[in-house]
Amino acid sequence: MEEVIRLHNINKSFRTAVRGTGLRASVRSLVHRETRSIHAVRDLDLSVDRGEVLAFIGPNGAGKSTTIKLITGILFPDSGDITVLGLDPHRRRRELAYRIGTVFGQKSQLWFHLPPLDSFHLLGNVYDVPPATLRQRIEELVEVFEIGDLLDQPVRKLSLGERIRCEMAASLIHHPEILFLDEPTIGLDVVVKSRIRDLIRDMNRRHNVTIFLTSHDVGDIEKLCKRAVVINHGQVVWNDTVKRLKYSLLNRRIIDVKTDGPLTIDQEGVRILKQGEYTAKLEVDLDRAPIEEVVPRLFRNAGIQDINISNIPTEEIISRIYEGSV
Amino acid sequence: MRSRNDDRAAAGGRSGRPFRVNTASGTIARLARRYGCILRYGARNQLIYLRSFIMRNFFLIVILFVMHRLWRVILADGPIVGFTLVQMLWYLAVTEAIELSRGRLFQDIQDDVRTGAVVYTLARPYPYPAFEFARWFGGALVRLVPLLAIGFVSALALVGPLPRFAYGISLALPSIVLGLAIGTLWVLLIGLLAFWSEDVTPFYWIYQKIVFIFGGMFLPIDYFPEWLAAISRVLPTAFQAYWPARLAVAPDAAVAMTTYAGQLVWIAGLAGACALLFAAATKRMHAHGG
Repeated sequence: MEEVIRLHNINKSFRTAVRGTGLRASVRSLVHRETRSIHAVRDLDLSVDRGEVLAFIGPNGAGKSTTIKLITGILFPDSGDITVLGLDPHRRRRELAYRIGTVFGQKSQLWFHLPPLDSFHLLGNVYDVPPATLRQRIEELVEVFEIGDLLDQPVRKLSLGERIRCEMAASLIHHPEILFLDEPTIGLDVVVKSRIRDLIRDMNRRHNVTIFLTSHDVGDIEKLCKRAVVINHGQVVWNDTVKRLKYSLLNRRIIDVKTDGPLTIDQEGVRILKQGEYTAKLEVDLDRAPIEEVVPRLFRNAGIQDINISNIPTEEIISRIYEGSV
Repeated sequence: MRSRNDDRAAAGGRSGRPFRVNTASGTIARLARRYGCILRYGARNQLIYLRSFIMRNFFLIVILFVMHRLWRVILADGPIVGFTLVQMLWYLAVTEAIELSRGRLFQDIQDDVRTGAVVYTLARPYPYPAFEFARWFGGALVRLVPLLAIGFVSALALVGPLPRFAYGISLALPSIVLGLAIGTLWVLLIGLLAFWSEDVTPFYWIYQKIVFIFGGMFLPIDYFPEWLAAISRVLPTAFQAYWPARLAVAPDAAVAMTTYAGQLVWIAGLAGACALLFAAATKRMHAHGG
């Protein structure tokens, strides 16, 4: 397998301003600004093969964004080596930019008041795609992402799901070899989420595009990725198959219920995490207790007023990795 | 029809290599195509709001009306330093159109810096300031057209036609466009200060007042004491407003050539300053993690 991303022993620290409280500290900061060093990434080793769909997960502030910025050449490491598509990303950032695509929530590539087609043409020119190739590429992407009806509508009038589809098409205009996706399904409903996942999978299979996916959505990870890398405090704490992670943790759901009386449930695979007089939080092991069995049972056993089923939060996954329960 | 370069580049693109053609002429053509396209879409983006923009700027008529009343009194006994009332009002129509069409690019840059969005533009194959300049300048050119039209119609209604209008405007037009480029570069430069200052609006206010005074916005520089006029005439602010407007009302081919040359020098200088400032800002982003 060809390695397209390789990080070896990477360290990156930042300086951040420290602001004291009170008037005196504010006045002092005018003449002497205190800074503190933050070690964002520590001894990070990571490699990604061509065509792989990798989940890169971790809680907020874990070092995910910093790692992506290092890989895309936006930042340079204090120490260690990074090679992306055979290039040093920081020294040859512009050259690398032609070969990678990004969908970052913070900076849309689409012009808000113009139709997506205009943005596609603009990006084609920005990435120096020859006109004939650009026309062909747009036709291809319009077909894959089913955005033919959206091409002439201003982006501001598109729904979030439609916009994400256009955003992804825009990121692929120049045939990137690696695509960085940051929370591509955030805020989408279940149906649209599923559609976007299908598109990502399709794109990966058809064009062998390597996908570097950052997501807090366990569904994205389960449905799309073969391998997951979990990062916390700037260090890799898990680097293994999603299958193993799923077996250990991702096959669990959290059920929050509000009841009109005390809840009792005695079922294998269901564990009560927290219980109040009218509330309860349960963890369900899907291998032992399918959700379609647990929920009706809850309704039979107690007067359910409200119910919410969710995945295990990333923070929880991290803490369980630390506890050694994975 | 597909050119050979098209085929070569397309083949390269599919094999995962960049689409670029690396010869000097190829690079120039590529950059011209890229920034021309950004400028065109910047203009197109502006056209969406053009109607509301024109409505907002009808107050240019009010400004010119007030100026007309003022200068009619000042110039009651005849021209001062060579400016007649007709020339003065047409002069002000041009300076105002340049000033009002420039817009506030610094606010967009400030927002990008505040939200951290600017750091992600580093992963694109173009320099952020160049992209923002082309985008904004395209919009400014679109705004310029109706403002000049409003200004000229108002001046015509208030003081009558400008002598040698066609000749004057043909000499002034390139200079007006270059003046607008200087103004846009200034605002870009101010926007880039957002990497160091949380709010750059005060810098913009100071700059605006400098243009009002030393750029000859309300009062041609020729009215200043000679020592101050001599300094003001070579400042970028004069090449932004004073010289283009003066060319329109007092056309002179030799002056036009020196004006264009001066404007190109200042454009190069300001573009260089923007590039240096952004390079320093990029270092700062590295130090602070973006």
